[in-house]
Amino acid sequence: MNTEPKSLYDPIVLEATTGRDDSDASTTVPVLEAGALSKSFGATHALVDGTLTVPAGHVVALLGENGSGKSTLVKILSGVLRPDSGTVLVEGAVAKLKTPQNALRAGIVTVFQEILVAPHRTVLQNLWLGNGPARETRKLDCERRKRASAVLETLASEDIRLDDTVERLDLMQQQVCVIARAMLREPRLLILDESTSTLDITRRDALFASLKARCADGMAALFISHRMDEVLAVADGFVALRSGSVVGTRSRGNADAADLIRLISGEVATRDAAGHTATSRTVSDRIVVQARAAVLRPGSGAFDLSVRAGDIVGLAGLEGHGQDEFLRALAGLHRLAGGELLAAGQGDLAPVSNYRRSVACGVVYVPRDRKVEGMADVLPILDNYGVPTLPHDAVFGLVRSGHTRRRFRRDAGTVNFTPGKQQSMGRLSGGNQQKVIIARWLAAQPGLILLNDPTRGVDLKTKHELYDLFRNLAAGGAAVVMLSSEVDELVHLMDRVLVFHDGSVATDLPHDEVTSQALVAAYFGQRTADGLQGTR
Amino acid sequence: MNSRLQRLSGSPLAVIAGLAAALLAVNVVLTPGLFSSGQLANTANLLVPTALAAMASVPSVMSGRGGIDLSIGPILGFVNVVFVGVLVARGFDSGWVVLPVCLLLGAALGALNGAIVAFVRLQPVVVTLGSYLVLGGAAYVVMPQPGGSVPGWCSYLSGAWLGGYFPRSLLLILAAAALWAAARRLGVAGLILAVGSEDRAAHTAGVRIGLVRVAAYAMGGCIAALGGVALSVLISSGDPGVGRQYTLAAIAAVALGGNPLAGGRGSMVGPFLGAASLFLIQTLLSATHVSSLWIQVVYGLVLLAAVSFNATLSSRLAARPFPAGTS
Repeated sequence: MNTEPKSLYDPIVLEATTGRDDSDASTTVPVLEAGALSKSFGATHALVDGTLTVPAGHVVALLGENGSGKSTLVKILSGVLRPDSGTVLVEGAVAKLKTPQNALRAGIVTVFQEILVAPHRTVLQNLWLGNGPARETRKLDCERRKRASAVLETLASEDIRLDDTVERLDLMQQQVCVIARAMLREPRLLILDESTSTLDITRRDALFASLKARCADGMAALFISHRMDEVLAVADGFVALRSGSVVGTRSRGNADAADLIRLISGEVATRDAAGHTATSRTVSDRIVVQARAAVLRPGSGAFDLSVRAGDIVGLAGLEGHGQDEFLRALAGLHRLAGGELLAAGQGDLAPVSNYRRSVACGVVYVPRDRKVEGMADVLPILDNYGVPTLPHDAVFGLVRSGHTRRRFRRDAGTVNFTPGKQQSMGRLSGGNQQKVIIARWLAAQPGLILLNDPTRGVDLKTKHELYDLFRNLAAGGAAVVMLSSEVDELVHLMDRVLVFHDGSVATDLPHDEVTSQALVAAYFGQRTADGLQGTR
Repeated sequence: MNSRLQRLSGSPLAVIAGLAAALLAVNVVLTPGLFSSGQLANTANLLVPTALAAMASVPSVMSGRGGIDLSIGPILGFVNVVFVGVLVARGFDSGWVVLPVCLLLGAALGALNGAIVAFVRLQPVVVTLGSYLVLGGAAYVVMPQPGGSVPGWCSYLSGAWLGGYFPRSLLLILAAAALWAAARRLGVAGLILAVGSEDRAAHTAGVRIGLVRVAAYAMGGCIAALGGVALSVLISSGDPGVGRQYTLAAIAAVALGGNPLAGGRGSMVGPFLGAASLFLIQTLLSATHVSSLWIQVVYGLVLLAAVSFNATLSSRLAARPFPAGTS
């Protein structure tokens, strides 16, 4: 019954052993040795005892789901975040990484997930930003042009003109600029955090070739990518993180996609025994969401799908793969790049036009960042509840507060929220805030409820209360479309999970096929059939 | 060079240059007296403090994150009263003493503003509004009454060379331009622009963005000190009450000159031409006997028109972002 997954793993190997048989690798000091790095944000342990070794000449891939601690580790190594504890050795010497300057001076150069350029400056100025003397002389300029051109050439991007301002480049070219800037610093450890996501195949292959060439000269690299094929192509060693901890390492010789996905997802059992109530609901034939050849962003793939009333549909994927845009598009807050999106609240299917219309039609949206978008935390709970549906309380244009209070008592009961003495919204716990925000929309009698990661930062008990609420709402005939970054939630709550990859629906998993392995495989753009069959 | 000209032709700089040239032409026709060999120096002396205040506002605005220095005007006034009420009053009237002291004073005041903005991380508007009030008041403490006199070299600066056609007060503008040219050459200007353009990019690339911002405000203070000297040349005395009026004109000139208040780009020439345009509008209105009460109204309208024009110009280049969620 209780399958403890950890027992099935190899004991954690601290040094990423590699498939290469260069004998001096064992005698030379590794480029990076990070030991026992920990970082907490309030009560959240973003990274616990992070330990990582990257030998010279090797590319080590860092693998993990959203929130597994990858970004925290990268930010610590690049001096953007300071760890609560732990040490970093660069080539055997203790490196104090208090600022980005420290990290750069130690030879750790990071290409961040976010493309950080100074848009108003020229390509040349961006490539040399913060590198070398700031003064501008003709001799320096000449030298810099020559080296910048050479690096751009190795990245198959000779077409980027050094004198153009960066804001005129497309996203891929900007990404190339950021990579070239890192290369020009001659790093000892190059960290590439999702730096290939916007590159086309030519540029990506050029990057990998350049990476290999530099590694042959003794550079080391830490590579993060959401594409399993890339990771397998380029990495010599693999380190998997889950919930802020290193859960396993593999080397090139003893790793394949299925094995790595199992390591990342941390589950061997394909289904959990925990109950699921989907079957007890009758799903009607009424279609409440329909996408026809929908394109979320310019250049991403088109997809069709429909959602019926009474369904709870999960939207999943690694951060930034289109699930958020899709949800916001359903609410009328994001414009599609192509195709058509229809939604129905109480009435018939109609094209989604704007948020105001959506709300009027019984489509409600609960935003992700409740602090910023969802509530006014200095106002009393009652006002936070009543404001969007204020017309319900108006008698001849005047608001009757008694009426609001009555409504609130009714809806608070539905969401299982017990009003206490606390009157200010900001003082409530995250879960209770979320309940009030959801209660607010019940008054609008929604037919389609869009939830953007509603259980983030909510404690376990409240989470389950929310799950019950969502099930009740679905049983009442509404459709619930919910973005979730939590695998457990997707596995247990959803009737169906749509996994987004590269801006489009890549996988549509019915409830019976949703397992954490299948999800992680889909996150990384792998088909479930690719290697998991054998493990079942 | 050709492509550079092409790029300029569609830029805010071309707009302000066109406006300034047109205003100059109209002024020369309507009030030739102001530009005669006898009067040109006086006309220039009136313009120079405003122009320097505008140029002094450039670096802080360029440095981004809402960068602005409202205390530029009071720095002009404070330098003026320290010059006349302290230095000259105690017998230090040599230019070799006065100029370095004034420039250092201005740079220090600017650096203080910059340090509070960059390291205490307060809103630049609030910080510099505070120093606007402090310096505006301190000028009265240093010199409660207008008065005093300026040394001879100031009178010399108020004159002109080349038969009256090269006002010597323009040397102060040239000094500010030289300062900025040095900053460009040393790369400080480039770093200010990079930090203003995207400070997270600069930060992760190892640029000390705090120090760069302090340098930007210090440079602004230094140019404002040149403006304080120009003010002393203009009024030939010390006056604790005149500095503050330059702040709003300076910011108007920066915006009119095409430098976006969001930072990250812009020039020194644009704000200079902006200040010149505001000045020429004023002379035009008095030449056509429009009541001086209208001057501020016209300033405002020209500013709004120019900024809107620049905004439509740049939005043609960049696609508009989708409006943020309204939930």
